[in-house]
Amino acid sequence: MREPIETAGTEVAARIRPLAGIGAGARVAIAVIPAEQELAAEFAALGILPGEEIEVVQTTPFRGPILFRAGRGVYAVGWTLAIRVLVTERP
Amino acid sequence: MSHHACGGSAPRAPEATGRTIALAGNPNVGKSTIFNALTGLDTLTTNYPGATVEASMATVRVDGHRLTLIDLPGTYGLAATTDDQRVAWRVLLEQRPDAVIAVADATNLARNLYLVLQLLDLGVRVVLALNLSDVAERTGIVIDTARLEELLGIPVVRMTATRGRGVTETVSSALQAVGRPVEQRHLYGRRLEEEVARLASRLDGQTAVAPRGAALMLLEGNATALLPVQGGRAPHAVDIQASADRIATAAGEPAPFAIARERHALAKRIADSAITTRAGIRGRQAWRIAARPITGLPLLLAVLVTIFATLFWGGSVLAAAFDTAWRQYASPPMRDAVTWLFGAGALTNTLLWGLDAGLNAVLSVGIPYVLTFYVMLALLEDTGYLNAAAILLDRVMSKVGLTGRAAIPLVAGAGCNVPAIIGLRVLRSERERLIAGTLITLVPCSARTAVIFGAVARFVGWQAAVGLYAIVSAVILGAGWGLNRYFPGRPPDLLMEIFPFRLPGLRTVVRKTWARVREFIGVAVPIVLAGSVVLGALYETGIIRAAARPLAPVVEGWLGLPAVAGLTLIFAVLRKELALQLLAALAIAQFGQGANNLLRFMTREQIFTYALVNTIYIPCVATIAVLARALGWKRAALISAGTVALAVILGGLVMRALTLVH
Repeated sequence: MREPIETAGTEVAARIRPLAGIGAGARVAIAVIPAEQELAAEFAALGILPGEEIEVVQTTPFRGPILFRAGRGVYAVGWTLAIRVLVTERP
Repeated sequence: MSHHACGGSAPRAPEATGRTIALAGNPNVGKSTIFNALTGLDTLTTNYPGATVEASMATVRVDGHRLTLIDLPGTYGLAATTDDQRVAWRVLLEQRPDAVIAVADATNLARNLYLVLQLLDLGVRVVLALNLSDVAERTGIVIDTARLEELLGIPVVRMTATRGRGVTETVSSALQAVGRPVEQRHLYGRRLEEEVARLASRLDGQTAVAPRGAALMLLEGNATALLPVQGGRAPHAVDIQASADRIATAAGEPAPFAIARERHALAKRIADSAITTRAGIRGRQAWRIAARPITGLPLLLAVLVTIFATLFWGGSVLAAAFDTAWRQYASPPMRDAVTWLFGAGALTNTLLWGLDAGLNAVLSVGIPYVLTFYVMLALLEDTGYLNAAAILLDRVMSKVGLTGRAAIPLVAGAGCNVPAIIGLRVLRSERERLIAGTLITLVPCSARTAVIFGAVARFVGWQAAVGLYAIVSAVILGAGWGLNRYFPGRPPDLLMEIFPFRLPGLRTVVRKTWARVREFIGVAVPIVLAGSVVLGALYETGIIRAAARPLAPVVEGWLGLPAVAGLTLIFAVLRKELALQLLAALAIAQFGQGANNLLRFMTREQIFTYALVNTIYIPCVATIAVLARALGWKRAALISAGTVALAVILGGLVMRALTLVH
């Protein structure tokens, strides 16, 4: 999996993926949340901030919502939003 | 002391000696349960949602104090970026409650404390109610309330609202807190506090909230419009930006994130140091059964079948029981009394239309189905099932330009369209509200369900009722699909919390159902009485034939219904179940008691078409009014006119199709 010769910066970039497409059971860290103020404020109030670890608990077929656990809460994000939420997979 | 609102808007202080207490908290922490528990006991006046402020308000008496209680919309934070948060803001700024009861879910204390810290930042007098304390204890969470009180500097009360435990104690605690100075014990990181202090010093005396809270809000990049900052000393936008930039540089992320992160971290530290036992915290995973398609879809089908069967059997048993009871015990003395008072004649007959036939119709047509439906809706809401089902419905909803979030108001619309439309404020975009608002008006509410079950299921058969629901569902999906294509803009994003399932409390279900049914009776009875008397007068004087004549081309010619049935449809704009009640009253007047058998003067096809037209054409006046408030008069008028056209076209086509089949 690990790229052989890379600079530190691109190594980080290489492991960033959209939340949409991450399988159930995976533990990932939030990397980027959408910049729109309304959404950003809601993510922030829920404590879903860059760097926070989350666990994907369910994916729904046919591009349905993705459910993940963050802290003691479980949240659902729709597919189109999950495409714009970027996460870092654990090395 | 009642405070007065600062800033532009006029204060709406309740009464000079009264206290105002607001309930704040995350969604689904039991605020409404507390509100209902308190207001159900001794309600003096009640302004339901959509009145002066779009938050439920009631005046109650606790410990000999008269107090105004405001139930704020559930929110995770006070960013004022969505409508419900703006409502919470307006209440805090304009009503200036003497104290705020922050209701927190004891099973997720850390995240719930975020809002509490935000309220404390704003200088609000807070009492913390740890609701769901029983569930927390069962799952192994023990919270040291004394430690929490010490850390936050506010009273903390344990509560199990569904059993009524700790509810009055919390209010007493809030009343005692009024008058005491507001303390502020928590601090964020040094660098953030420096910037906050810098801005706050220039906001002193200029805002409706504590300068510290105002400074934080400004740095979080919102509420600028909501803070009534006047005069020249207020910080310049450039200074705010400079402060925000310094925070961002130090934190390595935008100031709003940095502040949210610090507040969450502090909330977590406080929660961690107050939770003494953490052994064996069990996850509550039952929601997964409902949210995962392989088990969720069969469950959804089972739930729908159960609702339908309960309405069909339960509703008709109740209907028959009420009808018999009325005919045996209430009707004869009523007839005797009215005849004794006014003598036999047209006046007596007209009055009996309302007092006998009208009230009998409310009992045997309206209440049985409305009551049955509301019991089931309360169960669905209180178990948290609707929330999990929203996940399953998200894909379907996305086809009509909505998300799973809109599934909840749409289902609530099956109870009553009015609160469902008020509930639209939880949807983020105008486009979403417009589409969902239009679709809700097409959802058969319990009044229309009463007509479908009381007429179609009862006289034509349950299969026909299923068919009618299938047609209406297709109409809703088709309309949604069309609206989604027609309106510019992109479909909204779904972000919602999934709540664990809970055992519904009998007490809450009964209270909730009673509150809704009481509301129904209070609104329905006067309208039905008046409507029946007017229709009765038209009938007794013979004007009814003339009045029905202009409708004949559409009602008789195109829809194939008796012209008087058309007249009842017009009256039904007041209340949708009035259509069938008036039709039943008409039958009773024409054929005598016990003759409310529609088959005596309508064919099965006519009954089906009648119920279909009644379901789709024009929402009731109350719905039109809230729709106008939510979307504007023009749109409300357009939607209403659209539904009339749709109902007439569809009704005529269905009538022809049915006649062809037979």
